[in-house]
Amino acid sequence: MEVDKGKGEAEETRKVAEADRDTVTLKSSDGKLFEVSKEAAARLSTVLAGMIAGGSIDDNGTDLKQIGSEALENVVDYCNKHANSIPSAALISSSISFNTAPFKEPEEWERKFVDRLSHDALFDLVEAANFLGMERLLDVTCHKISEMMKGKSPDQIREVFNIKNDYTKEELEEIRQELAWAFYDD
Amino acid sequence: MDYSNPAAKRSEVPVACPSDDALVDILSRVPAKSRFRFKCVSKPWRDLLTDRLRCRKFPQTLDGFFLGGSSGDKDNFGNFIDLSGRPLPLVDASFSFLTELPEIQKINLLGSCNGLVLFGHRRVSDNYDSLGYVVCNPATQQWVAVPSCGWTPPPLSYLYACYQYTCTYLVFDPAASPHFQLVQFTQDEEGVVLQFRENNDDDEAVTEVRTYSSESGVWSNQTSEWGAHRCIMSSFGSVFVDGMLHFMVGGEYGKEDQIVVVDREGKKCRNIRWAKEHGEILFVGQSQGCLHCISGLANSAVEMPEVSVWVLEDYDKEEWVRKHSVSFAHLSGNLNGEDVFNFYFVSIHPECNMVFFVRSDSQKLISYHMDTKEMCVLCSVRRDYEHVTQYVPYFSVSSALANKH
Repeated sequence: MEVDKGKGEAEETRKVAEADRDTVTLKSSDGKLFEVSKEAAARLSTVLAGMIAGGSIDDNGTDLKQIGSEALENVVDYCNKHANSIPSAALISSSISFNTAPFKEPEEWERKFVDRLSHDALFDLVEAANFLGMERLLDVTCHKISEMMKGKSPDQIREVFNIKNDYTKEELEEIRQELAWAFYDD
Repeated sequence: MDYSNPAAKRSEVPVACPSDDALVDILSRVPAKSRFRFKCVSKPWRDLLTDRLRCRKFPQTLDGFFLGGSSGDKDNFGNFIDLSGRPLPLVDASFSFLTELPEIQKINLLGSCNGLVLFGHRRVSDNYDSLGYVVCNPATQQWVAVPSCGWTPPPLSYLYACYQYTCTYLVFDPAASPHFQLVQFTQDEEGVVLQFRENNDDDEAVTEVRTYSSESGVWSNQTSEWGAHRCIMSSFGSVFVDGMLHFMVGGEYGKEDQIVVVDREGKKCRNIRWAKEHGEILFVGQSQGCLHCISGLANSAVEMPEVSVWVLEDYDKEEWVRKHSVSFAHLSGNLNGEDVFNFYFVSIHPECNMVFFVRSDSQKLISYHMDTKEMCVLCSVRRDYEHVTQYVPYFSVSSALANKH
């Protein structure tokens, strides 16, 4: 009886320790493990928040089969950096705003974070952010890509995204005429 | 470029395209103008950008124009000018989902706001909106009938021979509220109908404003400070932004035009001044995040009658900056001068430096690009169409519109 009780206590202690841990372990599709701040993960990802609240976090590494190790490393890096950064105060404007875009510009560190990524890594990160329900990371990565696309001609876009032009000359001319207004300079 | 950074080096190599979902996420953050241009990239991109389901995710821009007449005949407003380049228009331009209903009698297009369209609804025998209004979303084919506020035009008499009519605005901002409001003024040919206070001071006159909210489902009456007797120029455009409705008041010879700003309750909050030297206001609209005015100047101060486009870059300072000028002669293609009354302006593109006008002689709707000075004839406009309203679609099903076709 004594032994059993002792074992139960140990189990209890381990559980408490687990609940108290301030990180969670995530496992990429290729089996690599990453530690991430629990607070930041819950705050930044609706999917991880749900898993943490629902107790479906595995101490030995929660499987994220859809995300490769490179993208997951970036996700974790972003969460940890976010945990350490102090968000700048939102600008409050008293005058009427004709600009209704809800997007808040990336912080300096967020800009640097995405600037160092390759196109491939950026696209993977968009997919990962989408999968994990990370609205802010999705905003920041998509913003970066949309900046790369801004003012570019369809030819340049095909080059960046490695897309084959499957229009005939006539079809392209027709569509260009319909959209004439969109072809003047920004 | 730092070639010691392997990531930067690798980006030189073309990469595989992201998945459709990720692309939609990315493209929804690209300015509308670039997004439209990217339809030329490839057929899969075009299909992605024009997909009815996916395009709901994109911030919307000018999709086209609805044209309507005032006769109220059911066949008289069913015209949509599609600018989007989709293979099929997004909306049922004939509004058959409304007109085929037995309870709908005569309806007239009155205006639109952020994807909802307002019609006046009347009995066949009446010449005012005796049955109230119909508000509908052409993209979802949802609609709701708004009851009449009870207003009837006073009978003409020996003492009062001015015919009264209503000026009704629809205001709707889905980012702020799922509900819409109607704001209604009454005016006659001399201007907004005023109620004078005891001292009969012209500057202290008030007017009755009737407002309807889809949230409460009732009309309410209030008075709003109005000042001097002036006309609301309802066909000269209006802008609703941040809960404030902007429209032009004036049209009186020798007096300055103004832009009046009222809130959702019709309470006048502000007058935006307009200097007479800038010409007469022909249209008020919104483009690229700023209030814009199109004005016409046709007096001895200018050699050639000209149109100018002005922008209020700093909303608080009320300084109008001239963005562009062009002679009426250029717009008409007739260098011997042109009757300035032949033009009426109907829209400013919300994303680019383009204005739209109708020539009343040839009945053509024409776009004019300020940067290239190019003009493009979009379509012919039937003579009985009196109202052109710009349409920016809104795809969400809204609780304020009860009926689904």
